[in-house]
Amino acid sequence: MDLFVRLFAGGLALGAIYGAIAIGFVLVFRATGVLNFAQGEFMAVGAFVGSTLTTTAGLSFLASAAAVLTGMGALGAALYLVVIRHFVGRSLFTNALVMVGVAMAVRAVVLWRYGSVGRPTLSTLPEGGFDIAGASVQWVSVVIIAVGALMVASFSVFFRRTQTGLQLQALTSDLHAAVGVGVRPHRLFAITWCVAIGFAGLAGLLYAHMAPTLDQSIASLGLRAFPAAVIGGINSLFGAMIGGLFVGLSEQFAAGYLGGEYRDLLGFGLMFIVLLIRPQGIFGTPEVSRV
Amino acid sequence: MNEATHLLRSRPGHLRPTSVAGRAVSFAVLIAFPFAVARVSLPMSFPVASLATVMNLALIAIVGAGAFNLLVGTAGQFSLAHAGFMASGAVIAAWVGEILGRSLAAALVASFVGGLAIGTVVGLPSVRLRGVYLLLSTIGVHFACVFLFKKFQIANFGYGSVYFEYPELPTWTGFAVGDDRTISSPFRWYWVLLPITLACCWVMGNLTRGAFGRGLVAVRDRDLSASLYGLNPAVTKLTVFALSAAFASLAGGLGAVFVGAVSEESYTIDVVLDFAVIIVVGGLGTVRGAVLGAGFFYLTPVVLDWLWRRVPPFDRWSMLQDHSNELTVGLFGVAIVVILLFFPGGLAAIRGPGLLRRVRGEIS
Repeated sequence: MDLFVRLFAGGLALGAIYGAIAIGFVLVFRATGVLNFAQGEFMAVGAFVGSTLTTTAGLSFLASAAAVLTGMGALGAALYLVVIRHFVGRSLFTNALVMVGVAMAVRAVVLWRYGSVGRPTLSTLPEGGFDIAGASVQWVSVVIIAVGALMVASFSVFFRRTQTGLQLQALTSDLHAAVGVGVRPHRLFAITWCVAIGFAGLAGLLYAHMAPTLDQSIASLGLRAFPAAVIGGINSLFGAMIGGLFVGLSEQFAAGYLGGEYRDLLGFGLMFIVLLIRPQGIFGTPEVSRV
Repeated sequence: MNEATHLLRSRPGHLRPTSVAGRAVSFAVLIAFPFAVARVSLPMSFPVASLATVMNLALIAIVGAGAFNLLVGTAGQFSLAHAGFMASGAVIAAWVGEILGRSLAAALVASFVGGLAIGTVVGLPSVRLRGVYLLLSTIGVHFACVFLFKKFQIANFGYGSVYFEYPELPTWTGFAVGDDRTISSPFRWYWVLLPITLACCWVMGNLTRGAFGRGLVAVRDRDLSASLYGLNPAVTKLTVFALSAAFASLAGGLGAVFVGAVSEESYTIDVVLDFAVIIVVGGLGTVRGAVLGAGFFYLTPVVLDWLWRRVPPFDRWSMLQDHSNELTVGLFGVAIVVILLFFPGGLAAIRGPGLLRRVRGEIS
């Protein structure tokens, strides 16, 4: 039972991080049709910059989170305005390849600045934990889950209540009609990239508190956005978070009960099965295609 | 000029077979290459000798990247499973070559046929899924293949790696130095890899240019419209997926035997991203693209490393030497973005002077 509780808490925390990157992934995919392969690299940037901010500059968790969120957000907007803008509306695989290029460039910068040697993980969040049913749950996990919930809540307010969010919804449902009534697509797309990359950076910063060590392998977590997004539904933001939690939990349980090598297999295997049975995912809407 | 030749001539240059003159020049260069590597020395101690291994790696990568290009460039289906297919090719080659003790040729044929079978089975979703859904499903395939690779490795070779003895040439070829028929040096490997790669290029080139290739392009551009022209998109997609998996599997088997020891880390998703660099830089949708891209991909690190170490004024900045790897990765990343933005045809589409175009067969 205590193993179950420990895996459950760890899985929820990991799932919240996956959900955060999956939300960013779904957001830019829905808006600009670009498959963001670089999500994991941006997570690594967030983690490393966060480690510099907290250890060298001595910032608190909240200050470093705010700094990472704004800095990475600006980077995301700049990336859209300089590069991605030219690729909106081009074929899916061209866009995927562009993001492969961006990912490699980002990786090169991170490697140059931080090297390939692992760094100690961050400890700006409260240490220790509390007991539930004989198992200790880390405060770090609780904070991460809370931040994930906050993200989903802020998204739902953003899309339902703000002018920008409503414009964005209009834009994704019908680009031409939205432009016809005065929505400025590039401005809004830049905002989605800003939010997505900012969240990826924040997810990286959070993960830097629970990772075994800080190194380049953080970037490979970006791939987890894919099963999370698919299981929840590739055009549903809420679904992305649920999918992320689902993948995080299944990975933790697979690693805990079956063995470490089943970790990747289970998440991605589930994704494969969902794709075969219900390609639009649990919360998504099916695609209609016309000649 | 009859209708058929007219149509042939009117095809864009990159879809035409290379001219006879072009082939003759290429063959001469390919045959002279391994001898030149051992004898020629270039100024500022350019590492000519290391080119032999680089060339062999490039030859193997041409098969894998060509397979990837057939699927991505020509058929427009993105797959991230190609590293997984290479892993299964390595497993099959290890099983046939090392455990059953058959010859290299048998191992490679088994890799190809096995890849064809695996590609057919896991390609079945490609009939049902399109675009982003297909791409994502292939990530699942990748992790399944790598998982099985690891299980196979631990069961038969232990935790280190899957390792291969030097393969031997069959006696009937008559090649032997004394009693030594092992394919051990880069020079010997070159003469094994070159014909295999050329044969693969020939097959993939004909697949791309022929009726099958045009069917692929039609299905890529709009599968529903293609079906109105009597093509069966489901069969076309499944066939190209299986063929691409087969060549990738062959490249995996070949690469594993060549390198001699492979593990799970040899088959990360990054292998597919490297293929993406190769085909974008070289040119999407043509075999020439895969060839030029593989050359670029394997030569760039050597040239850059030499530049940072030996060539003034770069050799003064030790920072460049220390970060040689990062500079190469960064250059590849920027190259992909710039090429997709400004030169979508890649290296294969560079027109060059009239003489070069005539040799290539673009002007007749």
